Amino acid sequence: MNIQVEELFYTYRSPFFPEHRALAGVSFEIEHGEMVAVVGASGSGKTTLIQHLNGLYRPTSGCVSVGGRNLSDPKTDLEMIRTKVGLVFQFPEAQLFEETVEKDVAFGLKIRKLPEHTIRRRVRKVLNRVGLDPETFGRCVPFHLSGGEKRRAALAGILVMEPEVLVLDEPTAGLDWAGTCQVEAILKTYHRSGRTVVFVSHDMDLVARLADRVLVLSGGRLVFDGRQAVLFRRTDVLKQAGLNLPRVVRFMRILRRKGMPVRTDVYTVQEARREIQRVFRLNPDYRRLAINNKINIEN
Amino acid sequence: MPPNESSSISKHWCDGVIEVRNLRYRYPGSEGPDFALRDVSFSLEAGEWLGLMGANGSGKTTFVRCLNGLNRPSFGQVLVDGLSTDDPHALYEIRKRVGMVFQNPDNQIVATSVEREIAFGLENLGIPVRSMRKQVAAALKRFSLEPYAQISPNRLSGGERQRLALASVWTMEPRYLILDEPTSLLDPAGKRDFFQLIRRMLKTRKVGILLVTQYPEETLDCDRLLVMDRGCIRFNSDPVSVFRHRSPLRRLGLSVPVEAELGALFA
Repeated sequence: MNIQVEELFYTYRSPFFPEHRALAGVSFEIEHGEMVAVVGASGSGKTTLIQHLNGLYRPTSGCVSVGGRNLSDPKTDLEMIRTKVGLVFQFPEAQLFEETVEKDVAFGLKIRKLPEHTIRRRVRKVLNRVGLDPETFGRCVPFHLSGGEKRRAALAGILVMEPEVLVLDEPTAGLDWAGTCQVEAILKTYHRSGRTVVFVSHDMDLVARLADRVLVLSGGRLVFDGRQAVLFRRTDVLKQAGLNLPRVVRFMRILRRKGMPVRTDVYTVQEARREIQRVFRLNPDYRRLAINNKINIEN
Repeated sequence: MPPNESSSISKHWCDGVIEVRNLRYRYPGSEGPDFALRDVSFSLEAGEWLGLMGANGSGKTTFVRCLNGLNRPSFGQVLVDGLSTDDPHALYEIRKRVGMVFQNPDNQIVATSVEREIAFGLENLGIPVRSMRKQVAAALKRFSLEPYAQISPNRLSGGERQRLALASVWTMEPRYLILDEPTSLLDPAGKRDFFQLIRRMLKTRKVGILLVTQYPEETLDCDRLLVMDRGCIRFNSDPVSVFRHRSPLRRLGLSVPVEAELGALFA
């Protein structure tokens, strides 16, 4: 299911408040099966953009089509589109509302009037998939789960619909490291099962680990669209969009500046460790390089 | 010791510090013997910057909610400048002194415009209108929210709403600031600005700050880093020493900063 966005403009209008143009002429295409990150400063239009992908917002001008259907066309069945494009909001756990995790996850299937046994089977499957054992967690009150568990329960509520395209807004914000790893694994598996995944994130390390392609927004315009490795060399784009390099990349660049010939296109701590050890084997002297264990958070 | 007795005794010598003594907390109505907080003792002094990390569900939020009396201790005490959170008459004063910013800004934003949101807390403190205007204008400027003054907070992006939540609390000039993952939606510029602000508040206003975060690198400049695990404080030391315990931290579901992780490879 391809997504096409053409010359998309969106302006927030209200009789009470001044106009605010959030998107100004954004165009791109996402092919089926891609893993795409959307990044940019706060207020650059990321959330507004992704809320167009299932027709939640209507373009002020321009066009968004999913699977060849123009979402602004009154003949397009948005209900159907929303089963194909699953949207996970920021802090989705705030929307958990049922008495039990099972019921909450089943909600979307219930309103689609699927048979009871199908619902039960799919709910069990999806709970396993997000690492919440149906026996232990199914009957739990969502309110009593920890933050990471709640987040995964909320994710399950969307995944259970088996959307072709999964769109997520800051899926790991507020999660601990273990929770982040779990959500990361869920997204990876979902992507590998042949689905499209589009996510918004501020965490450039997550973007580096997960995405193949990155869209960069700045002031409502698309200022970069390409592979992550290319983006990390484009300091001009990063600066314009107010973005940082991933911390792993920054660390490797510091090593290079100190004269250690490491590659800088590594994105996980494991890859970086292997790369550093590779260079140690070539020349053990580098072990004695003076490393400051603090890199200022502000650069 | 009954709480009302101790609050009057300690009032004189406890100024300038939040003290938590043997705090245990069980959610009302929760079954079983499980305490969400099991014997937590700690202090936060004015002008001090503490970091707090812990896995989701380790009790961080439960704990910080005890610091301004949103949660009352089941056992033990929380004293803010000597005022006990068990004393209902002290709560107003305590909440004036202990500002709190929550993780999800939507849980604390109530007003219909950015300007009114910032004014809301000041109004409740009974600040005269003229100085309130001045303070609101200063906060709008300080947090780069001027262009949005008239806009509804729900029109702002997640990061901007987080900035607004902080602005509203900042303007009330609390003595202590409890920040529960306030940076989770901020972009790099927003974070930079945030940490500059923290430094300035520490220096000029001598505010005591407790920063809860999931990003270990954000705690590197703290005076002390506390790590919570299942309702207890497991580490309480300077961040660099805490991050030497890489595998215990990992077992708690936490990571260490990239530079500590990779820096450990070097002699």
